[in-house]
Amino acid sequence: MLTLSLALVVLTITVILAARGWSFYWMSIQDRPEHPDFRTLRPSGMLGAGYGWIAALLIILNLSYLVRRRLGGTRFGSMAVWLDVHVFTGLMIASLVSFHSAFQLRTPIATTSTLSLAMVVITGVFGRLLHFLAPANTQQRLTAAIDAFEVEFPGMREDLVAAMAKRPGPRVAANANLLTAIASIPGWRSAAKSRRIALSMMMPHKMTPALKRAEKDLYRTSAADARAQGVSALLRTWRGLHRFFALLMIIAVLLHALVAWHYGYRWIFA
Amino acid sequence: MKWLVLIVLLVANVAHAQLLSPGPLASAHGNIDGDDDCSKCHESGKQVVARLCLDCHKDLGGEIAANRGLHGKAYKGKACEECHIEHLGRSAKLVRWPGGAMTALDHSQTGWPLDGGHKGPACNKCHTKTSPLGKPQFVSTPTACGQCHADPHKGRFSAACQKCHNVTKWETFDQRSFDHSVTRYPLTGMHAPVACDKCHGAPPKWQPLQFSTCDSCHADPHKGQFKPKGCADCHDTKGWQASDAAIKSGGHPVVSLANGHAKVGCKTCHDRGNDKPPSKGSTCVACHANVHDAPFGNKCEQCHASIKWLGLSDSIGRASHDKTKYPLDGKHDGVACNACHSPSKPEDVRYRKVAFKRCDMCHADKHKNEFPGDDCRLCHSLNGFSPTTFGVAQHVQTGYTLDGKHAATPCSGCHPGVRPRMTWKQPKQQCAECHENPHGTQFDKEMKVGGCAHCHTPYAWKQAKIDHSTFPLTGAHARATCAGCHGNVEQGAEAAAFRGVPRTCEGCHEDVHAGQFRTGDQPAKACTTCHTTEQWKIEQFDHTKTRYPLEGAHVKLECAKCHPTEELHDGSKSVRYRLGYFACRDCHADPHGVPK
Repeated sequence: MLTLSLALVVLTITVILAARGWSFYWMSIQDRPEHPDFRTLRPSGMLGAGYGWIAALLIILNLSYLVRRRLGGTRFGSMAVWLDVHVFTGLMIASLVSFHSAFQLRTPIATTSTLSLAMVVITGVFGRLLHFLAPANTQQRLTAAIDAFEVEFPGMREDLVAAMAKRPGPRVAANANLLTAIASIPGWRSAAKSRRIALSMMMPHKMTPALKRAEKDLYRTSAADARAQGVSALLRTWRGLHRFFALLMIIAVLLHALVAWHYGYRWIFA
Repeated sequence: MKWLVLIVLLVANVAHAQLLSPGPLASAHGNIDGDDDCSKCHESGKQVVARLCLDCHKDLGGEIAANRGLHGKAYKGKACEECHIEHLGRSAKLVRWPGGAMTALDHSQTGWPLDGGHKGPACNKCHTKTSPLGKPQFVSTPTACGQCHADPHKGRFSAACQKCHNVTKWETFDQRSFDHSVTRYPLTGMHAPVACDKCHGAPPKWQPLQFSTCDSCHADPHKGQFKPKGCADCHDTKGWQASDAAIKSGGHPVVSLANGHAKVGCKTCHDRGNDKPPSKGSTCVACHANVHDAPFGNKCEQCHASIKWLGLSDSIGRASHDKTKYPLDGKHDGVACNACHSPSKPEDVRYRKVAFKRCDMCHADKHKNEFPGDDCRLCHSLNGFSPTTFGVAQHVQTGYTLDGKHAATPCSGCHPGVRPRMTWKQPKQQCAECHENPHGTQFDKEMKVGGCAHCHTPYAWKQAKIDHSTFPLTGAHARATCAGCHGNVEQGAEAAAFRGVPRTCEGCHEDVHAGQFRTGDQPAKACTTCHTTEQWKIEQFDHTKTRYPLEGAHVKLECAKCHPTEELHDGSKSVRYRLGYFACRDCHADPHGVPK
């Protein structure tokens, strides 16, 4: 619910900002000075600069997720909420920075910061997907699914456990690099497929609705268990890529903000 | 860490470009684009600083400071970047015309509204200056009419065309307010109220118009009687009636009525009426007697042009001075007349009785009678007291001829004193009175006879006339330096000894034979027995004069075979010439002897 709410907030704000300067952003850069909102929406304008400075403040909030993650425990709230806020602020920053730059990449610093921001967002979204694909306790969930199936159709437990054990997911070392983790993707896909085929061969011809539900759960949990290791390894290495671009973006934004502050472009803080 | 290195490399790579700039500058500012040049426009905490802009756009700064032009009138005090928006890329426009286009600009904002004929022409008709990029420039466009329009008056009138013309139509102007004094024919007197068309016709024709003489417009009632004198000599524009004042102030034909003539009544000369010349004629001598002794001729007016008998102008006085007994030459030509013809002197002596035969009649003797006679021209000319014409050649007149090095000695070498030097007395005549005697008392006898000149000349101290017959210089002695025998004063020795120098060989030369040819203190043989003054080395020694004439194989032997070089007790070496043995066995071994 929180995730959806935050996503709606990001979307709403983005739409509002786009609507506010739609005609301005669609103009070529040379024609923009003729636009009545030029002085407001240009990067150094009251709104344009505001987008930038708010984005800079959101970066600080966004990075606090790392602190929370480092601290661990539950004193500062659920990690899931923090992750949602991290994702929300990240998307919000991307939106604000785009409006701050007025959708123009004219210098290496702007290009670097925008591209790195884009990469941060992309890797972040993909990372969030990986996070979703790699739920915790897959082994226990698989055992529970086998138990549930055993209740509906007794005598299959040992065969099911043996079939799963024969088709394990790919083994990826804990310190594997990104390429190795990516290379393991076909492995955990084929393992999941193999488990599904094996399970289908073992299913009885006549199935009650309860048995069908148990079968479906068995398929899902067996596939999740097969890909669990690979996804975890990929997520682990993918995070490094996300951090790299984030660091690049922070350096670029910091430089940009310092120069702007130095030369007196301080928005409402002047 | 790997990431950090990558980041540093990336940043270092882009640092060559505009790392911190928010965007490329327009092409006009392309030469200051780059992170090193931010401070060309920006200042810490102040965004864009107009002062920095005007550091480059100096002409614009001048316009603003003078409240002139579009920037000085309409945009003074506004930030440059409000209109000139930068960092939008090379092709971005820096100038965005108020109204949307250059032609839509309300030109009155510049303080130069476009009225009348100025409305039509294209902008670049007046704004002809372009930037180095070829773009039109508008600052400091000249506003003087002559900068754009040709001057049909060819510079005869002032450059302020607007005094007569307006911008609507060139041909029309306010005739009533036209200032005719700017023309070549100012309207004075009765000409002022005359209607324009009286002279210029209708429709008016402004030029060419004849006005050099009055009869261009007026008829001559005198019917040419006073030609070639002009009307203006008697009449002026105040009216036709010629006044006495007009005539007496120079309007009288032929003869001026100034000064003395002003006191003379008309009838004194015009015995036949004022409109007829005097029956005596119009020359000066017709009335005045010639008072000059000099043959100045009868054309008195050449000098006394303005009927001013005395007090002629300098130029006339100088030009005629050649006809007097004292032509003005040299510096006299520049002397003011009253320096000689002082106004304080009575008129009868001021000119005719000026004494000029001798210089001292006018000039004081700066030498205070040091030089006899009264002819200054012996040393000075009319071209000035200084420089003097007295030189080396004239010095012979003083009884002391300047020869040799004396001729090249500056005057101050003998005649000391501060400049200008007026005292030239120099009682010293003898060499020793000025020069130091380096010989001490050696030549007292000669000094009493002829002084230094007994041996020396003024041409060179070292080219002395020396009679060396008491010790004829032959051979190497003739080539030796004087100091070789007499010592050297220049090297700081005591006074060179010219007397008492030994004349024997051993007086100067060492005995290299270590006393072999001596008997006690005296040489057993004179050096000249074997040696000459030509050279020390003996080319062909005659051994027959010795007690051991050389014969046979002995003739071919080298000297050193019998005369060895030996080391003496004091460590020196000498060739032994006096052997003291002559027998064969003293040198040769006996080949017939029985070996022991």
